[in-house]
Amino acid sequence: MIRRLLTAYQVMPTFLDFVHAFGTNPDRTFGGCKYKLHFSGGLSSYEVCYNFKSAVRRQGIPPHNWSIRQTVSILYCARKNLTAGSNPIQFYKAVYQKFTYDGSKNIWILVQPETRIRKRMSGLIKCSNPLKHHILFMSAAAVNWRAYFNDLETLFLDMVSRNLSFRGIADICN
Amino acid sequence: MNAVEKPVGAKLEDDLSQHPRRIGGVMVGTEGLIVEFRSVQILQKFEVHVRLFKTALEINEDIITSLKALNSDLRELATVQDQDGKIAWRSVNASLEQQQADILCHKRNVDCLISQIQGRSQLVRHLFII
Repeated sequence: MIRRLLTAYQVMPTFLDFVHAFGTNPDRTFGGCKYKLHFSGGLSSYEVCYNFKSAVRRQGIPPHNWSIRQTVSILYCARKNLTAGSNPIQFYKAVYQKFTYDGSKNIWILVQPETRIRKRMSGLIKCSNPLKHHILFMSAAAVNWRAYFNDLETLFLDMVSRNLSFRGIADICN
Repeated sequence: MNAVEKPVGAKLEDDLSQHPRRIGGVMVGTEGLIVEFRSVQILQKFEVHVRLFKTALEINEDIITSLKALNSDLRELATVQDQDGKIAWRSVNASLEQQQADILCHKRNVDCLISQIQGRSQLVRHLFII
């Protein structure tokens, strides 16, 4: 099905690499951005595709628990439909854009888009720079990084304070 | 994806609940010093987890770099550049640079956390060897 779609819109083959990174065995460390310019006299169109990562707060876990559990509970899972064992950072989405200057024709393929993003995109359909949409994706990707880092740091400090206290080290030194 | 696999945090929690005093810890008593090697493994797993976080940031950073390059290419190749067009290119570039700076800030924080984990891991390993 997707191959038909990609063929119909003459999507550059590299995009398949990004699509294949999803699935039951996602390639966690794969990522990047490819773009291609097309010329017909002058610049006629360009294609760009990439996948980016993001942290998303997992739903449905009560925040009132034992301190470590509480910290665990606010770890992140990118895709709600994945099991609890999934790594919290996953491929969040892949993006493909083909922009044709003749008539300003835009083709978008989004893998696993958020509803919020789709709504905001519709407001940006007519903008002066066709790359402006990508700022939206990148800013959406950056939303939870700070909170995610804070939770990891809390988890680490909690783990350290429980298990290897300075008191214990002081005892050894004495 | 293995359905029964637990996230790193949950594994840490299980380890701690099963060995509340020993995991990652030092016990000083009549029997002397006890440090479990497992605590080093836990710290190393956690380090791997944080490194994945760093990799994610680096991937996003690379994407932003590529988008900036594309933006520059398109600006150079544009046949007509009115004032609005110039502002639009600059606006996109400035936004991408801002996001790149934010990612660099996160990366510095993650590096700091990795250093702390490594330091703690080395300490525990050293105590274990003793």
